[in-house]
Amino acid sequence: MGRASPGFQNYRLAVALGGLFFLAFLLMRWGQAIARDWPEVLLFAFLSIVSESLKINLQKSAAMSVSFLVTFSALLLFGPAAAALIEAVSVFNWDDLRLRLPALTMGFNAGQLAISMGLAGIVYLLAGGTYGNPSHLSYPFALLPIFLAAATFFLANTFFVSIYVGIAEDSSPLSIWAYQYEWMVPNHLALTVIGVVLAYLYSGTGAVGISLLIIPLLIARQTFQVYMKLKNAYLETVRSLVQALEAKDPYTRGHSERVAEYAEKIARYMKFSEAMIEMIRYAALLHDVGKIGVSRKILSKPGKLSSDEYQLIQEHPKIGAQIIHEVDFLREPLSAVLYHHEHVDGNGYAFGLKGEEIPLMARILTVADSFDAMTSARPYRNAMSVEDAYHELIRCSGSQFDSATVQAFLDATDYYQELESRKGAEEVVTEKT
Amino acid sequence: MLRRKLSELVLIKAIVVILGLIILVVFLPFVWMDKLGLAAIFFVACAVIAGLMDVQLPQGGSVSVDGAVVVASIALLPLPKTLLVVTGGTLIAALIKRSWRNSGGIGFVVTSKSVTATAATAVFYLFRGEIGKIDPIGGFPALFAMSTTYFAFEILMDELSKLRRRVPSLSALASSGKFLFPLYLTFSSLGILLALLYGTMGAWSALFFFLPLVVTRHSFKLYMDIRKVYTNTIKALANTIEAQNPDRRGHAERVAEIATGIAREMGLHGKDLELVGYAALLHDIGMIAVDEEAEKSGVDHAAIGAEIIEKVEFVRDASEMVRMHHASYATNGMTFGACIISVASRFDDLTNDMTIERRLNEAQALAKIKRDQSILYDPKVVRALWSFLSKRGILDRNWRLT
Ligand SMILES: [Fe+2]
Ligand SMILES: [Fe+2]
Ligand SMILES: [Fe+2]
Ligand SMILES: [Fe+2]
Repeated sequence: MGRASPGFQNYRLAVALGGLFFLAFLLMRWGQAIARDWPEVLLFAFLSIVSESLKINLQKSAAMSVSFLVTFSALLLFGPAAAALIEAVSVFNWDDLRLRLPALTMGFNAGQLAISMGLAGIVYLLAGGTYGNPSHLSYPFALLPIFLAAATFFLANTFFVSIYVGIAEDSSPLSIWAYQYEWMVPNHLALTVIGVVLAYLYSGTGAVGISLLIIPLLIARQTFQVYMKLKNAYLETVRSLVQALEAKDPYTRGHSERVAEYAEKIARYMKFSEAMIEMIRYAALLHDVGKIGVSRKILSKPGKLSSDEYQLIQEHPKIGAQIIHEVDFLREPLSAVLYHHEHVDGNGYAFGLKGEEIPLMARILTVADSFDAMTSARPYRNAMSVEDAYHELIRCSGSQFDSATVQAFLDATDYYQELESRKGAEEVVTEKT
Repeated sequence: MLRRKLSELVLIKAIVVILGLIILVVFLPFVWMDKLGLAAIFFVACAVIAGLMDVQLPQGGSVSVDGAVVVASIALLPLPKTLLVVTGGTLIAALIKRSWRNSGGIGFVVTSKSVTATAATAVFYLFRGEIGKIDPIGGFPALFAMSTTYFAFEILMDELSKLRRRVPSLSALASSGKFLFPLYLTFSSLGILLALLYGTMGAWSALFFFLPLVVTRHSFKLYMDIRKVYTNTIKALANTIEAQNPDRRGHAERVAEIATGIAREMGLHGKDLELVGYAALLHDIGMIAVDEEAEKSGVDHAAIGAEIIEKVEFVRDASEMVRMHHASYATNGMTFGACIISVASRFDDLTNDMTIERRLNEAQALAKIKRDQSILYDPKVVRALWSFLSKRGILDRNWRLT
């Protein structure tokens, strides 16, 4: 499918219209509260827009905002219709307006937010919750409807967004959900409780009371934003450091970057989770870090290596693992770096592991690494053609390389397409079987 | 001079401890005099939980979270009960954590917190705050003044317990205050919130107090952790030079240690101090591309290193220090940051020479560097190196072993 497909258009339109109808229903059923308390509803709508404008952008299209707690306290104060309405108008926030989101996307957002919050409100009332004056709620019995409602909102909201991202990026919504939202569950729980406190404080103490809560939240948000910025920049930092280091050697320049590209393709094809793909990227970027520097002295020397020099080269997976083992964050890539020169038949270095003993991440790295090594020039030989390199992979599949990984690499890259365009379709079929 | 400062600090600490003891002896017996017993137990429990939530700071030390509970208890309970909350909370939390000696001895912690709480209570009365009657609007100035006093005192006491050799300078206090200000603002808001909610909700208010607190602490901790990941990564990649040239093993990290020591002596703190550390770790990174033969033919590892660092946003600002780390003092554009790296690297070269016969001890190395000062090195930097070394008590042989 993808971004331009009609399915994507239809999905957004359906959700937007569904939200509109649902909102109309809610307003007819529970609209009196809005008519009565409209100045306060307006204040909460304003607060919701403000806090949505301050949301933190996470990786890809997910974002976290504290506006949920504002609308959630509106649910406790003014009921489901007001809450859904306030949630829907939060799409007119500074952040989204600045980005000039397409009208259809805005409509989708408003629709899914209204549906999610409306459903949450209905669940809240069905479970025995009441709205109006939160200080009349009796704890802990009021907690059950509150948490059911919050869970409903979270599930509905992430359901709509995961499908949206899934269609737009042509990947499985479930893996997107697991990668982007699972970890947000505790966060969301906390926001819910804070939403209750906010409603409670507002009915008891008015604006001063809620500012006591909003100040810590804004600070937490600020800190979290700096954290996210650093976390997102980490890949960039590692990449640029490795690039800068290897750029000084003409024979390794860009190598790690290309290996990362190939490895990512294989991992994606093998349906790895996004979190694992991230780790594979780190492993690939750092796989030869033990060779940087050494390679320039020895590898750029034309002619045969002495056995001493050869041994030094063979140490590089160990040295690389040694270098990164201090970084907690890189625990998972570590073993891939350590074993990226093992062969499945046990003839590789530095440990001579066999088959399944070699971690899958390392086997992927071996294929990606060798393909790039073959297709780029070395001091003692010229670069192999892409076609020959593919054939070499196939030839050594099962001995040097893990055959499933080679197959995934062939499928994931344009190997078959290339064959097709060159030799015609029949041969491809025989090759594949 | 050093000796005098040391005794000054001991004196201040002793005064704090004695003051705290007096306060405790005078007020604690009144703990049973009224009927807020249940409330006191509740606040002690909150203080214990908060006491277990300390945030470790990357530059050493930690921020305690229990201040928020103490602020609430000052607003709600009479002073003896607040003191019970302070001492009980601290002692029980320390008992659970088994961290008796961590921050200048538990005795100092308990007494200094008692002094802090008493001072904050006094300020609360001064602003006509009424204990037990929380009025979020009219009573705001008193609550605000009280919590500000509390946290100002806490920062001061914390600095006192952290630095064992020096009385904290005003700029160091201001710097850590500025860094921690958001955290303390959070604690005061939540403390006042707890006081506000406890009156109407009772023990359930703890739920509404701790959750926002956990959120704040969690994001703060994430931030601290990712900073550590960055530092470790840079350290790790600086080691690529050592993988190439085993003779230089540990050079980068030792230079980083010495350079930050010098920089701290010269009054750098916060971001600038961190930057000196990164520059020191990476100062010879250009050697990755240059070996000895190339160096002789005029290729400059400092310039190449700076070029590498410029490409990495996180450490970009350290590139000038790296570029100039072999330039002499009189060179145009020489900064004292670069001079710090230069002195630290030279010092390590001299004290860790590959040929053992040529290796100097610290005093000899310092003397040799001092001979070249004003031509090669900024005398102020050399002086800072001297005071760093003497404060560490390492101006003798084998200082690395002690
Ligand atoms: Fe390798
Ligand atoms: Fe490689
Ligand atoms: Fe150097
Ligand atoms: Fe050096």
